[in-house]
Amino acid sequence: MREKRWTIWMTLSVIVALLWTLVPMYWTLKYAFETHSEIAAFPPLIFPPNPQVAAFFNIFGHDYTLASGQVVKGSGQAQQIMLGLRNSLIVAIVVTIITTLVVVPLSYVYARLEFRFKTALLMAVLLSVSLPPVSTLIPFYSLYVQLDLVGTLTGLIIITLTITIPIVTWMLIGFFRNLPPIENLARIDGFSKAYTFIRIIVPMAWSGILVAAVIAFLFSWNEYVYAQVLVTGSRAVTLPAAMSGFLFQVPNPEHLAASLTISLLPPFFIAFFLQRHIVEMNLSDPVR
Amino acid sequence: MARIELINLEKVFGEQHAVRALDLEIADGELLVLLGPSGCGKSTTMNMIAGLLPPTSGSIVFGDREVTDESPYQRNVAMVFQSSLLYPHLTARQNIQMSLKRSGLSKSDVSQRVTEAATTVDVAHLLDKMPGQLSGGERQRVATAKAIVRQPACFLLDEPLAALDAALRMTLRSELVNLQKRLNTTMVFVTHDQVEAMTMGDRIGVMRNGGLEQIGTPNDIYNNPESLFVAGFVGSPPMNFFAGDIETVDGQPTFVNAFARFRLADAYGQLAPRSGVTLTVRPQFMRIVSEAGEGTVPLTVYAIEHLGNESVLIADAPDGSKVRAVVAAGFEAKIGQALHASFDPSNAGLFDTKTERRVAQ
Repeated sequence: MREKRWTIWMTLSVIVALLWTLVPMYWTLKYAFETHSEIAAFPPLIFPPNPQVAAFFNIFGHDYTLASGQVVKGSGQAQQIMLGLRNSLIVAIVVTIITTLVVVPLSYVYARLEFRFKTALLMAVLLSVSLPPVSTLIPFYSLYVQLDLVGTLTGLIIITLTITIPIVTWMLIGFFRNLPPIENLARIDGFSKAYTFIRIIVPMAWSGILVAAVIAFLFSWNEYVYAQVLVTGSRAVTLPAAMSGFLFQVPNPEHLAASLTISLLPPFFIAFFLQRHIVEMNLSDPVR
Repeated sequence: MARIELINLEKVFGEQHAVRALDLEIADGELLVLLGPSGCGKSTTMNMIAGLLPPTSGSIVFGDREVTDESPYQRNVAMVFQSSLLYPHLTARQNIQMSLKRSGLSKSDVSQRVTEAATTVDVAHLLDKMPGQLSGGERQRVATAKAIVRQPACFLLDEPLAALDAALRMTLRSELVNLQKRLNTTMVFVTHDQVEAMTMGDRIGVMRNGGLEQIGTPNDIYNNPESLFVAGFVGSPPMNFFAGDIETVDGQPTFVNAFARFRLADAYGQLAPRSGVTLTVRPQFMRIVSEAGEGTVPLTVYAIEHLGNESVLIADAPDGSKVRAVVAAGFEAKIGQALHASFDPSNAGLFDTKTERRVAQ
């Protein structure tokens, strides 16, 4: 009896959680396939009556002729969206590569080796994790003005790394700590520390390294606050900053919805293709 | 092949003395078991022999060569770790090959050595499996193959059987001893399991608090424990202890406590009276009698454990301590029943309760 009730509550909470996340996503998707007037309809339509892909053409600057013969004009933001898409990909990929290259050795050293001031340095990492990103924005901005880094991809990459590196380091430390004492085995076999790390630890820990890379990518892809302040309106604009333009222009909800849908695709594909690994990426049991 | 000598070896971690003033000599081709509870320093000692931990002071000699400052690889030791640790991302074959990676042998030599080693421990058919696909026993055998393929100066085994089930442990125990005798290579085996130590060791070194409590053959350790700790740690079912004093009764030295007295003259000759001694008797030497009398202990039955060929009677002595006696398989008693036990004092050990050392005979 007790067990049955538990199941009902569990089912209910899963349903609530699903609705909570999926309904807004569905609503966004629905907007992307509707026309201006359909979006404005009251009471709101649950399904788009004549789904069409005009918005997806418009945000890239193309006109689109509806079945009715009506022509929907391309968006004036198109330049920004295309730049944003390109820049977001560049920033996310560069940030992912640099983060992974830095974080894997860094967290390994923290997790497995003893050195002086280790606790203090570990606390420094924790401090940068717990610092809200906005709090560093103003100092970074004035620094960037002097260094001429405002409105550049380099500047955005550097500032994004200050978020991804501490967080991913903190995550991976726990992962490396749980590896078996394989270094002793390697020492008996006569391998140097560097060889052990590159040829034994890294291949053993690939699943954790993959998680680290995915998290760095998603953080960078989703980053909005820094981009909004540093690169909006410049040649270095990223997708989240470019999209926010739709909020401030003549309101154009279907264009905002269409670009949001596009921005959801990379995380969606990562989740889709890596779902088996993400389930296996049990950070507490690294060797699988 | 090497004789191993540890000279005044010490290891200090911060405030903690993990190993203190350890002197130990391991003969060439000997299987020495280091036995002790967790935290006694046995694994630390082994890691120092392997070269994984630098000693705080003292020296380690292999044969005639001082190796204290040499790396594990230079010492040419092979080690099997707890739970038979292997590289989890490599196949059994690659795992074994890793031991020869730095040897400079040709590819064909390596593959021949790997096959030989795998055949010796009967894992030739498992070479292409990943460690995760192997059972506990198979993993242990692959780890052993990885150790012997090096033809090392000595084998070091750190509780390799601890994670396995009892039946498998028994099989692998004899396999390991058989292998060690066949290869005639010095082996140091660390365990906290006294049965493992008794069945495998040429000699057993019992460790406690970072020091060597006693070292000797299994028979020595079992029959002539030098301290109360060794007496209590080795043997199954465990040793019985009776606390009391030695007094002179009717001109004879006698062990006396609140509920029992035993004449010690036949076994020990003349003994001066002293207070604070502990009498130890193996459960195998306890006899159950129905009548109280000279040299008996009154007992209240607490439990009986049937082992098939015999049973173990567990009973409370009047001071609340548990007393065990090995009895015949058909022995029946009710819980709470009053019984008496006796034993021949010549089978008993006599220790000073405070120093825990054997009282001079």
